Amino acid sequence: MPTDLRIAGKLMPDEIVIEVENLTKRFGPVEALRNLSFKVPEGVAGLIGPNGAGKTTTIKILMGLLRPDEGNAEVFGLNCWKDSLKIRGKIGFLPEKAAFYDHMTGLDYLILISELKGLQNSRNEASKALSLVELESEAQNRRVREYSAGMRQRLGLAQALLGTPELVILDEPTSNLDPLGRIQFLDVINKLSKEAGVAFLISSHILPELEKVCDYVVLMDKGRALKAGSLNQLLSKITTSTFRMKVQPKEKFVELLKREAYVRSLWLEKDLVFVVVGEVEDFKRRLPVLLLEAQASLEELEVEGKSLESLFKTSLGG
Amino acid sequence: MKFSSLLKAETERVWSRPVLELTSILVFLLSLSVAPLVSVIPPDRLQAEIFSKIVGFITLYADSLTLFLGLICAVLGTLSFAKDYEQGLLQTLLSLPLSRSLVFVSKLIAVTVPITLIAWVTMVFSLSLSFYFALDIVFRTAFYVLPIIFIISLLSFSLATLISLLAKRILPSILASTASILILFMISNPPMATLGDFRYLAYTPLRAPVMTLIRVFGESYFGSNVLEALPETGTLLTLSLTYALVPLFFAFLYFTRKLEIKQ
Repeated sequence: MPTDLRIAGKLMPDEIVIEVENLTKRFGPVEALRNLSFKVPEGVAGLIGPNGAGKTTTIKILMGLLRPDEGNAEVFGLNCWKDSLKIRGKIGFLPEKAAFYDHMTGLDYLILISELKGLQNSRNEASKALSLVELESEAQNRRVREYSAGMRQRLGLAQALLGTPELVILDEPTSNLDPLGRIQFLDVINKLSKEAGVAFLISSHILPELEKVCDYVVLMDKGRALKAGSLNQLLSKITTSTFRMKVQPKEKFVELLKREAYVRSLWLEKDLVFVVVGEVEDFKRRLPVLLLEAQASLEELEVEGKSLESLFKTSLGG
Repeated sequence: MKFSSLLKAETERVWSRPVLELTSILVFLLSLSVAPLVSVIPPDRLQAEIFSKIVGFITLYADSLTLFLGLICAVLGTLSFAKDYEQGLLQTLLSLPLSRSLVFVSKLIAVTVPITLIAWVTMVFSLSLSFYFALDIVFRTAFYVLPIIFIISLLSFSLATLISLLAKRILPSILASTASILILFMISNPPMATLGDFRYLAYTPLRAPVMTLIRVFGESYFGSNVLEALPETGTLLTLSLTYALVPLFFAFLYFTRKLEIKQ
């Protein structure tokens, strides 16, 4: 296992919630996961990566919905395929596209799920979960098929949080929520994690939100874990600096910049040029020369702070 | 508790409006269309003659029902699995602490038991209207048709489930399931000329259950020589059950052991 995947600091072996080792999954000719390995301790963990990185496939393997072709995946020390039933008893899950019994009201649906989870006093549990996602008033009388996308997302979250499971796995949980809903959602995660000791694994594209709640991050790309570790540790390991520039015209400048030895990665976003550099002094010295050579003018230049987003972009090389 | 809750939810969903209403009306119309084929006899006739007429109605009804029952079970079975797979409800259910066997059995019962009861109750109702003076014979004979309707439903559901689990898409599953039922119906309904044809029919998947019924009653609207040409009741029943249970077994095995949610 690569050294950067090892967990240092607070993690002890008995605190590991998820352990994935050399996981490979193929869908026909497509290799969705390639020898994926990581460990996730208690707390709130983020699973991040671009589309097609293998996040949903990993989550489905953890839930026992997919069988790995090779390797091993364990949750609470139990095999995800063979002991799936036991694991599912401890997990709350929100899939990327949640589906429900649409003919029921939200409350009736959650009562049903409570019964299926074997919870005592299912009506109470359902009401509690609905109030957590602030859906109690709408959910009483309206059938799920009449819900908006945001309400369905909240219902899915309520289902995942039902009965306060030991681990909650959320696949793109905030994709349909409005800004207020997202803030409330982050508060719920913080509260459950700190007060009830619930562990979370959250897959999301919205990195600033993940950064607010995550203690631990697994960064994936092309079916592999590029980095895994505590967020603070990973951010402190960033030795490069990311600059954001607005250059006009940028085409020749970008071409020239790509040839510079100190440039680790470079990418474009609309009018902006992002460059990750190893040696900042070299970059500062060479920048005027390059601009002159490209006959371009520099309109903006800013240094990006260390964030999950910059870690993500740096690791993926844009 | 888990099973009853899931079964209730599945049944309500499968038979939500207008599926229940439409199915009931269609089955009732079907039973009325068969009723005039059996000439209604006056109440003062011999018990044996009344029995013969009732049996004639029941077997004709069961015979006509096979295609309709087959198609409705195929569609509902497909929706239960392929639609749930495609739309994500199957993923939701399989993410809960429920065994896959429990999910499968709930879906099976939610489709087959209500359709069997609808078809049976409709038949008993139509029979009771025509033979109100011999209700004891009606109920005695109707009792035997219940498992036969269930076997026909089970066969159609099993085929549809197996196809849906393999295809995993609604449209191809519905097309393949209904096509398979139509093919079974065609091979079970060739032009009949000789006793050999009837022997052949007894071995076809959709006619074997009806032939079992004819054997049980010891009466045939095709004539007594047809009855003598048929295999024994036990053989016919075993055959009917085998046709229904073999695809069901493979569907169950695939669902509980192999199915992956790739959608």
